[in-house]
Amino acid sequence: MRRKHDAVFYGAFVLPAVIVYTLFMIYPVAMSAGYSLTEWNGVTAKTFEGLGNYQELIADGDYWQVVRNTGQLIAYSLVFQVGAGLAIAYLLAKVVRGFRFYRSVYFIPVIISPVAIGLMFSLFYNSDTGPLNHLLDSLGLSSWKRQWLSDPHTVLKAVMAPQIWQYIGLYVVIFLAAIQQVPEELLESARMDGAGPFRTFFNVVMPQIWDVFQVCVILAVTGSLKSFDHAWVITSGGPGNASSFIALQMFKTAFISNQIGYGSAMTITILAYAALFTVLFKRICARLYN
Amino acid sequence: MQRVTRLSRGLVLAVFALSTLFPFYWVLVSSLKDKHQIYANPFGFPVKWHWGNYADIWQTAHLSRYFWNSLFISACAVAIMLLIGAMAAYVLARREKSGWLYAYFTLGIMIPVHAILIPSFVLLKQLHLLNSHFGLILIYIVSNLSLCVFVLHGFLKGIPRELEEAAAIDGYGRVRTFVSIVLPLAKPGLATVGTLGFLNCWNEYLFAYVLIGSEPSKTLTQGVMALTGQYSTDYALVCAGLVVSMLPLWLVYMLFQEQIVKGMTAGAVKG
Repeated sequence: MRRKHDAVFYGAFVLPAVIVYTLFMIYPVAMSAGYSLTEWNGVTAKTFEGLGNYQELIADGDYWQVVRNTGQLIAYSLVFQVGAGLAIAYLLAKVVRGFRFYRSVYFIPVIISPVAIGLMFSLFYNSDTGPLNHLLDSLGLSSWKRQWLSDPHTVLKAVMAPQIWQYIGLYVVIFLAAIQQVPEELLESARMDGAGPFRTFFNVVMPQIWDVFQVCVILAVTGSLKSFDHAWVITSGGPGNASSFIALQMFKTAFISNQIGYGSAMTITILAYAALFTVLFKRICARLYN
Repeated sequence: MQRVTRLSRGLVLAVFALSTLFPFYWVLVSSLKDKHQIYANPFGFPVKWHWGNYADIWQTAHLSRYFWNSLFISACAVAIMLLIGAMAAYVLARREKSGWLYAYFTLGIMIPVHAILIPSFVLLKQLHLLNSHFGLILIYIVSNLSLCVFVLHGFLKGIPRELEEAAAIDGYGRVRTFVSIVLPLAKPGLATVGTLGFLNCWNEYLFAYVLIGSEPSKTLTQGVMALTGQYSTDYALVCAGLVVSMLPLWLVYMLFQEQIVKGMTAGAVKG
């Protein structure tokens, strides 16, 4: 009796989450996969295309341009979010006075919506009235002034800067928590052995925070694959596709050009890149470690 | 030598702090100037303080309506997510044979939420939930649910069963045990996922943009986005709008800093 009652209780408790999750998360992913095999404008009937959309993707220069842009974003994120975040965390971990102040300041941009941060930077970049060119003027660097958002040489970096800047603090805080877990005795004995800060970092700290480091790398890569808001606010991906990323291109294809099938194929590639990277990276790390 | 390293360390940290704060400083002072002052005196304090910018933007850009919409949507999504998430996590933590179900739920952590953008539009259209807050709330629930189940499952596993057995002996039913014993003990875990979920919903733009097109139902991030078009020539108003959208977060951050930092980092590390 009790057991049967338990089963009813468990079922009733787990069911709402299972239903909502299945219907609005798992089923939609399957729908994406299904759509990606069709040609569909969202209104008239779908026509089955097989792998046609994927063949088209392979030959699509615009798609590869945004993939390259996303690749650049990943590279810069790894250096300036994971790398710089780790360096700053390592420096900050040794600070006693002002520790809490710095930590709270670094985290401020993390909690703001990406749309607001993007809008803020688009004001900075304005070539006539924006403060960035003003700042260069007042530093005597007038020759560095640019039309930041219409110059194809600068626009991609201009769009990447705010999203990278915004989340450095997140990485600082994550690494900081990990570094503080490193046993004091290890650091002490490294000091006794005469190891400098660099040797201590690579030989003592790094092995201890290796797991967290991996997580941060995955976070930076998957985060870049999802990048949308900043570029959408600042340039909508333009001029052309110069500052567009995969997720932005997917959105435009599906909702502006109304190519639902083709957009879904892009969605599936985003999923595939994220999954592939996570699996491969974990494998490589596991091998490195043993 | 020691002093040099300490000094350069302090310098690096201070410069980075400055680069973090400066953009916000600029937006703040600009929001209190007029167009002319922003151009002539871009970095200093306002000569004359134009508080009227705030009144203007609050009225004309409908920010107050968007603000309440966002608050309503985020609060509902988080409340429902916590309830059904905690219920599911409790079952997964207490029933031994539910490993596969746990794996099924945590699968969602790996799925980039963009993967459901197109289908969610189609699905909500079929259900006649486009332009409705309820539809967006549903999507916000599922996009945070996996992480919620994952974190709460870990948390509930750590709560000893003896308390629940004692409650059963006292004649408590299972539901009552859950509500009056388990949930209060899980408060720290609920606070962590709740904070993270709330910030995610509050700051979300793409799904809101795709799923909500009718003017009165829009969210605050959509309102911020609209500032670019409407007032692109008047920086002072745009800056005032930006400050209005950021101010609540700054206040909440000052009050619940530890909680927010914990929530966001837990979300990141576990995601």
